[in-house]
Amino acid sequence: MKVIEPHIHMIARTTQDYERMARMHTVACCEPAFWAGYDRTSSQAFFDYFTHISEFEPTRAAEYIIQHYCWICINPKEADDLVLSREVISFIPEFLDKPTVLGIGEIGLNLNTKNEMTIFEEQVELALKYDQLIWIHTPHLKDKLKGTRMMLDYLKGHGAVNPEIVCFDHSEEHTLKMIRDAGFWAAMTIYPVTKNSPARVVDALEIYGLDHMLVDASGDWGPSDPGTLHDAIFEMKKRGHKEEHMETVFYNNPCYFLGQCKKFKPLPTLPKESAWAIS
Amino acid sequence: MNNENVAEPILGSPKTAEELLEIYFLVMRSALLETAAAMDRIQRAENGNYILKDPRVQKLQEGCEILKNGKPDRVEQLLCLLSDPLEQ
Repeated sequence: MKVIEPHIHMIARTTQDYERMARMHTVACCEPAFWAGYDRTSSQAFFDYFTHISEFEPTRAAEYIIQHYCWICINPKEADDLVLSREVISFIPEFLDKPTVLGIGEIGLNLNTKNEMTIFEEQVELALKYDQLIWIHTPHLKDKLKGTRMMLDYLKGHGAVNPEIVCFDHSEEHTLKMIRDAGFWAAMTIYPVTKNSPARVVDALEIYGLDHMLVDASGDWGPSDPGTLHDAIFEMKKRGHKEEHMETVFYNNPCYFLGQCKKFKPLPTLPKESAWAIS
Repeated sequence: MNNENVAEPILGSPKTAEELLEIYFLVMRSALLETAAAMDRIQRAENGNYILKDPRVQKLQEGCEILKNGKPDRVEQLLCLLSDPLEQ
């Protein structure tokens, strides 16, 4: 079974991780633009970062027969600086035509501040103007519930946002229902300690079903591991789930969502209506 | 499913409740023991009794009540307990 990793920060990972992912049948991965672990000192640092993830990482991944895609944005944590954020937003459009850029992301909120929300809204407008997919970071820990609600309310009230082109990432049990009820895609992140475990992700799949659900490992410079995605596949196997349902979650669903961008090349193995029918 | 308080899951579990308990009992046991051990560790340290009054620890103790309340959405209840209020 082929696997697609919808969210991983390969800039922070070693080449051995590409090798491990290839051995675990990962055929494509997607890298949203994010915080580097420190605040960048100028907008030029973002320009260089966007160049790295849109030009260098695809060549590094290709050595392991993995297609590498990316998302471009000013991340939520640095979005509290309005001046810096707007400088970065001014040159985002020149990256959107690159062959592996899928859309605007991971935009969102960090501490749910007014400035973060302003830049979130401005980047939603940018995505709509350039007909881009949107990948949303929901806040960590105690800020997640309120931040998710703030962004959902904004997008639902906007009037011009098609929920099919938007994915809310890092969703958990207390935010999944509100995201799905509004018709958006929900991604669950398997990340030690601070996010989901493989078992909780499979619980959510059992409760909510397979449609509009993505799973990722969000591997980055923290104590994370691309292998946690494959731990969830094993968890489904351990519980006796059908291989076709695993394929839906870990390969076909990313194809359905990401394939709305014509630059994304992997193709699903069957139509989504068939894949999402539970039998 | 024979528990009328639990919403019917869409995909559901191929395993029976008894089989799931066999798979997960030791995992649950371990998670509880780790929490208890960490609280003991904090209490043994200097100023431990005072530090255990930290609001975060109080929330965890409130969360223990959720484990016993019999409602089928324990994780969601716990996460809401540990979240900033929506109206803040």
